[in-house]
Parts: sequence; structure tokens; C-alpha cells
Amino acid sequence: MDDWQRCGGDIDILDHLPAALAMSPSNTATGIDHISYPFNKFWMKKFPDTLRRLLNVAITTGIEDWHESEVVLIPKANRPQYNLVKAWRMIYLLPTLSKVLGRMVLLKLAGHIDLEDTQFGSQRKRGIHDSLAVVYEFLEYNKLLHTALFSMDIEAGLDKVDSPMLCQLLCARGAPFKLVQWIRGRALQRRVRFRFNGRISKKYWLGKGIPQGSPLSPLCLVFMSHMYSDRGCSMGQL
Amino acid sequence: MIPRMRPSYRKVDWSKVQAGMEGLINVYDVWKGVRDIIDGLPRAGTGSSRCKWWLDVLENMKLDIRYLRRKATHDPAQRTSLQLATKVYKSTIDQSRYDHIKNMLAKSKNPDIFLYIHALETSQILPGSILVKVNIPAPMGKVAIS
Repeated sequence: MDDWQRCGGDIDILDHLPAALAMSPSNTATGIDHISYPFNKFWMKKFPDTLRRLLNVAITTGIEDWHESEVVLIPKANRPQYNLVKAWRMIYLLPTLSKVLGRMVLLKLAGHIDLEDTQFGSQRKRGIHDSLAVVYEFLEYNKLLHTALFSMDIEAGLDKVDSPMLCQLLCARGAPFKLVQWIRGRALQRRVRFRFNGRISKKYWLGKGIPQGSPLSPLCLVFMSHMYSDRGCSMGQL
Repeated sequence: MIPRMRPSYRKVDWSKVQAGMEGLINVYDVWKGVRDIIDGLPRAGTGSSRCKWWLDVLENMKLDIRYLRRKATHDPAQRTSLQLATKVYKSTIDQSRYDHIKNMLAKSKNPDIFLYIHALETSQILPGSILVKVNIPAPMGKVAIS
């Protein structure tokens, strides 16, 4: 039994449904299932019980269609050659209800997991201004010393996230078992199809990484990057 | 596979959608029922303004030409394929327009129309030029060719 299977607990995330729908934009394109956010809001307004029951099924057993995503390939500007993969930008289209569920899980995780004060990514009411203020205070405090700023960029970070390790990290941080199980199932059962040149391809299975357009993915990436920085600090490499 | 057009939510009759969703009781059928409702919604981009002679074959050819043109910019060996495909594409456009005009004329009940069909078939002028030159009188007025 893994570590992530040992941590238990049951949780109800449906309380966050109105907040998650309110956070959803209303002027964006439809998802891969052609369901728009205004339709979801109409559904919530007229038939809230049906929507709640469906989301409950999705969080417990999962819905197969919600694991699918469509990748639209857009050429990057001013590239000398377009026969390289790096010359194309990938935009993921996900089912909108899957994104609503992701926002609900994000709201629930934010209440269960404590992040450090210097952690700013994917947290509500903590933006770039707060991070700049921390850096400024640090520079002011160490005014008489030699100071240096170190920045790190993880190339293709979302595609390289190891989902079993992510689940162990989430469990270690106190995330509920039900949500961790859902995140693990979502990461391991991904199916992707590509849209290029006006056509769509067949579906490919992906067992690695986390979806790019999901609201939950930045938080997962923050956890992984935090682990790498901790490991680097403990080994004396940083 | 060419993706299906997205639904136009401005054209949706929400009372029908509501009536359809009221029948969804079993939770395991809800998602399938909602997908069926979404599939039945009116689609965007299929209005009367769409060109009548623009077929799905032409749409596929347009995408192929675009793909070959992109390949030919980096691979000179593909230029011959691009030229050949462009010729086939343009001739198919002409043929499609020709067939569309012929079908429109055949639907008219004016007996003189067969003379114009004969003139169209024996003409060596491209159908795009015929559209400008032919003026067809009909009992109910002029036949509008668009």
C-alpha cells in the first residue's frame, strides 16, 4: 500500500459549487464537450440538485468523458523553422464542468493545506505585488550585504509532473484522501487528441503529467517545485 | 476528421432545453442526456449566408493545400506536389460552381432555360465569367444566380 493510500478521510466539496461557478468566466469559448459556462450557470439555476449529484458521481467514480482534452497547436511567432515541436504552442481545451470541479477541489485544498508565506502561485489574494514586496523587504533587510536573486524556470513543467509522487506530497501535506484519489485518477487516465490544420486526430493515452488548462494544475506544480527546492536545499546544491 | 461546429447559444430556445433536462432523473444517465441535448442545439456558422457550392470536398482540399504550402516552404521537393494539388483544387472549384449553376438552371420551369444550359455546357468560358455575362429572362422575373 502506498503512502497516499494510507491517508484516509471523507470530504464534501459540493459546498464550493456556487463559488466555483462564480469564479468561472462567462465570455470564454466552449469546452471540448461544447458546453459553455453560461449553460452551466443555467443548469445550476434551474436544476441544482441534478448538477450536484452529477458532480458527486464525478468526484467519487469519475466520468470518462471528463478525462479527455483537445490540444490546439498554434505556431509561435518569429521562429526560423516550424518543423520543430518547440515552435508550436499547445493550448488545452478541457470540459468546462471538469474545470468547475477542479476549482472546487482547489478551494477545498486551499483550506486544508498550509503553504509557506513566501508561496504565491495559485493562491487567492496573493499576487505578484505581494511577492515583489517580500523581495523588496529582503533587499532592505540585507542592505549592507551582497545580495543576489536566483530565478529558475522549469521547462515543460506540467508535462513532467510525476503523479504518484504528487499524491504522496499532497497526503503528506494533509490533503483529504478523496481529493488525492481524484487527482491521481485524473492524471493517470488522460486522453488527448490534437487539432491541427482544421482537423482533429485520434485519441492518445497519457499517463504522465497534469493537464495544462486545469485550475488545479498550477497548485500541483507549486508542490512539485517546492519539493525540488527543498531537496536541493537539503543536499546543499542551492 | 473535421470537427463539428460549436453550438450557437444565442439561438437556443431555453424552454426546450429546460423541458429536456426535466426528464433526467437517474444520475448515471444525466451526463449522457445532457450530451444529447447539447448535440441537438442549433449550430453556429450554418446560416443562409454560406456559399452554396462550397462542398466538404473543397474544405478538405483547402486544408491539404494549406498543409502542403507550409511543407513546401522548407522542403523544395514538395513544390511539385503543391502545384499539382493547387491545379486540382482550382479545377474542382470551377467544376463545383459549374454544377451549382447547372442545377439552379435545371430547376427553373422556363423552357428556354435548356438553351442556356446547352450554351453553358458548350461554352469554354469559366463559370465565374458566365455569372457576369448570362442574363436569364424568366416568367417570374430574372433568375438570381449567386
